[in-house]
Amino acid sequence: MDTIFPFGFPLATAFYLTLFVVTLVLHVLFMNYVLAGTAWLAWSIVTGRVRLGAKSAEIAKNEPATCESILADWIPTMLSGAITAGVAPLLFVQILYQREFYTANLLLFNRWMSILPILILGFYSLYVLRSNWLTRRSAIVKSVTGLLPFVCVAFVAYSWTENHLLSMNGPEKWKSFYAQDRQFYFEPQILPRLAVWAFGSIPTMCLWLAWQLHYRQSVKLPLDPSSTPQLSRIAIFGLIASIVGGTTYYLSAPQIATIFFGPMARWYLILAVAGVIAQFFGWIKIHRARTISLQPLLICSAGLMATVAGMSVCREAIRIVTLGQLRFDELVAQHAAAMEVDGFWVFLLFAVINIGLIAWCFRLVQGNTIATDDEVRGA
Amino acid sequence: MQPDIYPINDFGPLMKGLAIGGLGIFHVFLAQFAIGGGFLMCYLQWLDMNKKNTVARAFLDSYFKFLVLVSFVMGAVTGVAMWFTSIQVSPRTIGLMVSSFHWVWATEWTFFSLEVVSGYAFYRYGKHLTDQARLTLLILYTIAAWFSLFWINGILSWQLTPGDWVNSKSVWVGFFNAGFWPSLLYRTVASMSVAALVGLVVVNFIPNLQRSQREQLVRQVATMLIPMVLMPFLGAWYIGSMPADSRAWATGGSVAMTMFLTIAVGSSALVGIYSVVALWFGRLYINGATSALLVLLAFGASAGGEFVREGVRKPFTVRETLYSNSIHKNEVAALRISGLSTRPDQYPLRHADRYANDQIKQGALVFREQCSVCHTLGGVNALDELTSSWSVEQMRLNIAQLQQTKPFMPPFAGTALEVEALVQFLSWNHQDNPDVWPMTSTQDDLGAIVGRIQSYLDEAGTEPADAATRHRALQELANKRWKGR
Repeated sequence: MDTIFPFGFPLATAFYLTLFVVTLVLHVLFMNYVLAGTAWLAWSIVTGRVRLGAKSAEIAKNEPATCESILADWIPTMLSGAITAGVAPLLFVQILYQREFYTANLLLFNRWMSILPILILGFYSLYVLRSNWLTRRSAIVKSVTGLLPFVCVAFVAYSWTENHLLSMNGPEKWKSFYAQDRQFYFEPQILPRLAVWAFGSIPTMCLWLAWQLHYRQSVKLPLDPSSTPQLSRIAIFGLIASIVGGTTYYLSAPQIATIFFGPMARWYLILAVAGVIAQFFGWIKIHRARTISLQPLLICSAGLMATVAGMSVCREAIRIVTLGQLRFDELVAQHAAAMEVDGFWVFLLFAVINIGLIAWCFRLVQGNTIATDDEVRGA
Repeated sequence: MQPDIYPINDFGPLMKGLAIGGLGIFHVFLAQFAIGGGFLMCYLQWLDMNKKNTVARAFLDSYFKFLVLVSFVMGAVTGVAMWFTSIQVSPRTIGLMVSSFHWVWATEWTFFSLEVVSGYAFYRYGKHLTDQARLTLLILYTIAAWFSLFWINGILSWQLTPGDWVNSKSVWVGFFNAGFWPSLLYRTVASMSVAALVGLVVVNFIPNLQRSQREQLVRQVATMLIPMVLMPFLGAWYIGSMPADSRAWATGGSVAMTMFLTIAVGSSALVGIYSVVALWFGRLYINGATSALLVLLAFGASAGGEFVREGVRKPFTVRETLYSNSIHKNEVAALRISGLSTRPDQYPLRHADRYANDQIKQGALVFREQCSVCHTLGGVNALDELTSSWSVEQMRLNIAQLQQTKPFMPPFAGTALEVEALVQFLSWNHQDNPDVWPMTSTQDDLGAIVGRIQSYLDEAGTEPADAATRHRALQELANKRWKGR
């Protein structure tokens, strides 16, 4: 625990921790688009800034795309991506912290399991947003339907934070929680911690959207001229809000500071901060130019990856230190046993093949389009 | 190292097995639809490209929208739900499955990712792609979906027929187990059938098609139902691959299992006969209502089959390794000495003040640890009902020799005092939980009672009823029932 992550651990532990963090980063990239995107969409629908339903999409065929129209079109697909990408870290967390993860699941019981129907409700409400049915409904129904995906996704995000923090408690606290027959867990750091992730999701979503706008620019598809400045303003707001959220979190849980500046996480914290600075630089450049060119986009992308990866490692460092040396030594033995299990090379082989085939899918779509249509929005 | 102890939740009147079983059946049906849908769509695209059906393309695009809305949303979320529900029901079982096969699961994830990407690529851009690109995407989708089945099927069939994995712990010995191929092939045919039946429903709901076009689509979609003629052979192969005692249970030893197997076979036969004889040879048309009814029958067949597959593993969740109540086969002997309800990291009893005395509290703990995964107190499969006609001494004997009492039950994994505590807890329940209940020590000679229970326990031993005994007992039961007719 006194060396930079993950080098202070035995090989098996370092290996599974790295796999977990890498796949978690992938999940976070999709998840952030959905969390911040549904919030933006909810705000736009409630304030009447966006038209709803398939009929509107037909009208929009000949109209320039806006950030809102791209979000409405893409969030269901990105939610699918978030769920798919979430399977891998969910698998590796069961190897790394099986007792902790299972116990938190069991203690929260029905409250935890409720995320599943709520996720389905949120998923389908995203499709309802694109339906003709909604265009004929009252403003109240439209507003409620517009809010629903965000409320559902936010509930799932809150539940994960609750589950994660409960999982880091030891057996004594778990027993007391169980004896009280509670299904809600709260501690003061839940909200500031959630705020860091929630505000942090804004720059990620803006970057995805920026790449989508950049693509539209490059293939000369119509684009609302106000989209780029609007997007850069929101991205910069998201970065500032993340810093404020991070500071609040830091002040609300002083023990976190010790871990962040400790030997395991220190350089990752610096990486995350450097990433934020790079993103500021890139977004300000985009804001000034009022167009999305490749160079600042690449700077923002590199910055974002540094921030998300850095913060993901810091998150893991908090868990490792909180569990303590004694418990982690037990876990290390379990990781070593897991490493003995066959199948890694088969996984690696098919991972390489399937990544290649996934890339081929993109190539197929890009190279075999026979008609350009505005329905192909923001690809 | 001590095994991890997990908190156990009370599902009220709902049996835990019903929660995981109900969700599992629903998820499997959706997954089969997604897998078979790939085969059907490849076929439809091929028909379109070879000018064998002018409306195949329109049908395909409508069908795919339906598939995305139903399978990609519900299928994906219920897949995650399966993990979470398994944790709620038996964390040690899912923990063992993940620890033993995590690379298989990780491999499956890479195929699932390909399935989602190729599926969404087709959903979003299919209309604008060349025929060849469309077909390629559909083939990629189908391969990925089928391989997802391939990998998961190995883990699921391992639970019933782990074979030499029990000794070697080799992933590939466990994965390519006796049930692997029959189960994989059966599920492949089932998937094609489910997808074709849903296709027949969709044919009836596409607007702006003439009757002749619908008839042509019905005939072509029904082609995917022809492999159902293989189902009896594949089904027999799968049942033949089961351990003898599990097979005996499904074929007469257990009324519930036999009934569900009959539902599975009967529903499949009805769908198969109608599909092959009426739709294929008779070239009959099928309307929306009838095709929807066939989908419901197929769901019934799927539900019956999954129920049997889950049920015949008893008393194990992983055969010869882990019992249904999450106690490892190798732990029973030690627990007979040290006791289950007094382990140092035991979770406390909730609402302890509701119990009449300390012995009843201990009995409640034993019930929670050993029985509650399959039994409730007053709901489904209630112990109250099952033991209500037993005398107190009969309960002591039957519980102490559980694996002999019913060969599909695990051996009791606790001390003689814990057997007595459970007996008192059940008796206390039979009397509607009075506030005052005498402890055994205050009304009888505790030493003599515990001594008797210990002799019952010793007589039964710590091993499960061996497979031959289980088989013989079930066969006798089946014969008795047969003669009783």
